[in-house]
Amino acid sequence: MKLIKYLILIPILLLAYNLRFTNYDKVPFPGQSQDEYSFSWVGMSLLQFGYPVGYSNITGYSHNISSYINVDRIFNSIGTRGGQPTTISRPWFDHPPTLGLITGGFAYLKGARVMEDAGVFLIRKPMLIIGTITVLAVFLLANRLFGFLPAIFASLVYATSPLIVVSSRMVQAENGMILFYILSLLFILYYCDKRKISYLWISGLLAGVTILFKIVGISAWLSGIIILFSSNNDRKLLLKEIVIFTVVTISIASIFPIYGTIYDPTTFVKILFTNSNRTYGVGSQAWYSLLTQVKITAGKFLTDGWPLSGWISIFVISLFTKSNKKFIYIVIPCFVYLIVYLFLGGEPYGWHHIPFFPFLIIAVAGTYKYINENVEYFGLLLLILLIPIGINISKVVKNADFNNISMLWRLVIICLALLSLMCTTKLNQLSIVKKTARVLIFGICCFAIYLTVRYSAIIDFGYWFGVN
Amino acid sequence: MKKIIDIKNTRANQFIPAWLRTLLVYLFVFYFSVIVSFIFLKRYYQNNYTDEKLMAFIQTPSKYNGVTGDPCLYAVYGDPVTDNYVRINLYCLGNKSSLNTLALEAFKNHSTLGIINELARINGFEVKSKDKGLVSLGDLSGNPYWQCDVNDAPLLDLTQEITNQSTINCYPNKDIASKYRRKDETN
Repeated sequence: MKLIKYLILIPILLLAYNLRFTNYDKVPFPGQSQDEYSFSWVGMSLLQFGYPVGYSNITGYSHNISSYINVDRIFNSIGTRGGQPTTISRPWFDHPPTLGLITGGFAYLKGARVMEDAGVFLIRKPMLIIGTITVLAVFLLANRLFGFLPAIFASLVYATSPLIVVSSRMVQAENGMILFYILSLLFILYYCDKRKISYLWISGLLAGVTILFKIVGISAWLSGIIILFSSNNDRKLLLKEIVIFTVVTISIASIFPIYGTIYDPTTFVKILFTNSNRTYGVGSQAWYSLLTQVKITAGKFLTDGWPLSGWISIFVISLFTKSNKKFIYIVIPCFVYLIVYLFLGGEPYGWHHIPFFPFLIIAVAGTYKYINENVEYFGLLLLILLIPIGINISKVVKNADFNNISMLWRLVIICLALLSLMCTTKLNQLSIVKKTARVLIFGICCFAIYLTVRYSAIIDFGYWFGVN
Repeated sequence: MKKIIDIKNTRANQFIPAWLRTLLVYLFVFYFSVIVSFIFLKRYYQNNYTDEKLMAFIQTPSKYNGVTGDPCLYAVYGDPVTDNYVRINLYCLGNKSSLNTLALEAFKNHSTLGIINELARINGFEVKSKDKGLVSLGDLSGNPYWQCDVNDAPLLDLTQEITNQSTINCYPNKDIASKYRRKDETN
């Protein structure tokens, strides 16, 4: 009987896949990020010649070829590529080739043999599967931390949030990295609960694989170390745990430098240093931009209220729930990646924000659970959920139509505000007030999800063209 | 038999805890596997990679893009970020044209024919040429050949090297050529 309730995951995963699949080859436009093709080219070239070849704008490569590689006719499309030819560098060391082997390998299996064959209609397909599996991973982590209902809420938001849906289609290392980051955290949680050493080993392996997607995946290792520190007071045992976790993680991650050494150690080291000395494109206002802007690509923004709600939730649970240890398993990974993001900088591309999303969404779910148990903070959850609800309504309902229902909207807001005020008083001890608040919390969450699905469903080629 | 070393009770094992032994065995097996794998990878690369294969991988047009009979159907939009470029414009029947500005660094062959062939590869049409000139671009045949100017001077030799920032204009026949040339003069 207990397992039957998990069957609800099936429609959630189907919904997640369906939203990601719809217009996956049109939105974002092919060519808005050359990295998508580059990763796949690296995988295809490794499979065909055993030699990694891809697009790079990093200086330091000694072998470069400029060519107009008209994959998806990106040079014949306005607003994607421009007239500058693609610079192909070899051997390519910008990032580890893990994602390329997945997408390029898939394209190769489907018959792609040259660079121009690697169109987004092919290479984005594995990302749809990875994105859907990540929804499941979010559920598992949230379920472990906060229970079944908050986990369902978190997985629904992650499955349907338009920013996450569109971002997860892209062939970016962050989309692969985040799946293994979550799984690594999940296994370290299992280990902290049951102290079975095999879980620690698996967590280390997964943390290493996270780094093999992108070097910033070192956040998984750092998060694991901090979590081990905070969950164990026995020094001897702690030392053993840290050694095992670190050695296993680093051994997997070391595959990348060994791979680089096989082809060209000088170029590998040069590119590694050039990568770490990139222009600090995020700038001093990086933190502000993270909170207030929702970029998807280099120049496209997609307004979505869930990330901001997530940031507020992260602060709520880190300030209000210090006694509840489980919340640190969300706060720590989020802040570790934040530090890595602010430290390394780089260009302020939208896909660099992807690793935040699961933790922000799970934080909203955690806030929901906390406030459900402490209804005196009902108003706080209302404010948090009003952000995505308000934005989604503005996208789904035209201004003229909204004017017709604005009185109803204002009445609802007033009533909810009054209930929030009641909850802050001694009236929150009354069971009728508590029950009403909990029912309304549930209803507001359902309404928020409904609007999110509606918003995601309207994002097509025409809509994306108008997004700035 | 007692003198045979009892592995479990050796001095080393008395000092090395079980978890550390497991870790060391793992590291040995792991790195042995990695090194063997990469030796095979390097051999695979040495047996399969050639520069010609690489160029074919980079420059072969996609089977998914298809080939068009209309040389003016597509154009390369946008300008390259370089001072080293060539403009190549095709003017077709029915007031259609394909205006392209391309970076010279993407061309190995800087002759007019080389540049036109490269444009054809990018935009997906076929080029037929003879010694005397361009017979057809896509399905559009010249009359009898396509007429091309380079920097407003008639092109007499397809193998002529193109200099930086040159403009190549090509027309399928004299009527279209004179129409666009008259337009330029009026402007």
